[in-house]
Amino acid sequence: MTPDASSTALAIGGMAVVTYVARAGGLVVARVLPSTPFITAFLKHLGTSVIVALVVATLGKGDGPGYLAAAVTVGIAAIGRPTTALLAGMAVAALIRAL
Amino acid sequence: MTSHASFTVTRRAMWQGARASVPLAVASAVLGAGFGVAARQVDLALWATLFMSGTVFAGAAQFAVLPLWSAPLPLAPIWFSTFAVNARFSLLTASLTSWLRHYRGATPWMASGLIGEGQWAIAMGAYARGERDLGVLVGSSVVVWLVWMAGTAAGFLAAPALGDPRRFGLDLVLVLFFAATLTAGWRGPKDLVPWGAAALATRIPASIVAPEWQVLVAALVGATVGAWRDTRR
Repeated sequence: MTPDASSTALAIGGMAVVTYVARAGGLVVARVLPSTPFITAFLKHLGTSVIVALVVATLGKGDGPGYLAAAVTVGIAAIGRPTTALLAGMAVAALIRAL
Repeated sequence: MTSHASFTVTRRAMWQGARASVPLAVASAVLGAGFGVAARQVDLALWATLFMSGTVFAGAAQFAVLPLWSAPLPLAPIWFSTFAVNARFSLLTASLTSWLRHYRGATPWMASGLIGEGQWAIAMGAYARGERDLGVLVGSSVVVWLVWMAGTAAGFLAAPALGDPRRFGLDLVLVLFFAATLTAGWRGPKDLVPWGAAALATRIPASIVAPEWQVLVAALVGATVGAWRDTRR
């Protein structure tokens, strides 16, 4: 059954609130943490660690063409063509799946 | 190019952030289209689909709640899943501390509300080049939000004609964009240690770390290993 408009609006409004809390919560976390050399280095590594984890976790849930597409994308992005890299990766996946 | 120690939010920097976001905008538009298609498949209305993309503005979490979308809506699971999937944003915000702490009042609270991996990567790229103007993040976020909304609407409306988004590799667009982002974040072989740790930690069994916390936990492991390596004597 399709949910009615008011419960849909409530559900999405709540999602927006918890997402803002997740985003801005980082300010609170960073204020609470002491500024030691370890914490400074930790914060420096956080962002790229999030992206590495996201990429590896997502590829792990997908299929074989995903890995090949990612390899092609990384290869082309490494020579400084991010848009071409993205489209080439998608094309590789689409092609393998069509075979 | 550089404007050292000017912790401002200028229109010039917004424009610079917008222009740097072209590859990211392509990815966001395509991902938005994928979300529009998926939302229509679970009978979400057009207004609700756009309301979600506009206010939540977080692809992974939006996809994650769609399977839960039937009456009566399970509000607590929807909100919990959203928080768990988006908790990683707090890490991105925290990593911007050395920049954001120079701003007073509402600015850090508004800027952190824009955070996503793509905008974060654009902003950090500018920061690494010596830029200190938060307009880069704002400009990038505005572009991403606009194309994300346009993509969502286009995908929703074109869904019946498109069929399975996987046929076009659309399901991979976000992960491929992030993979491309990593080549810019690469600071040399020493990054292999924290990156390898984060990658390995995504393989922690679901019986120990629930799938929705996987990315957050793996990122914490990667950053901890990296910090330990950098500070040990």
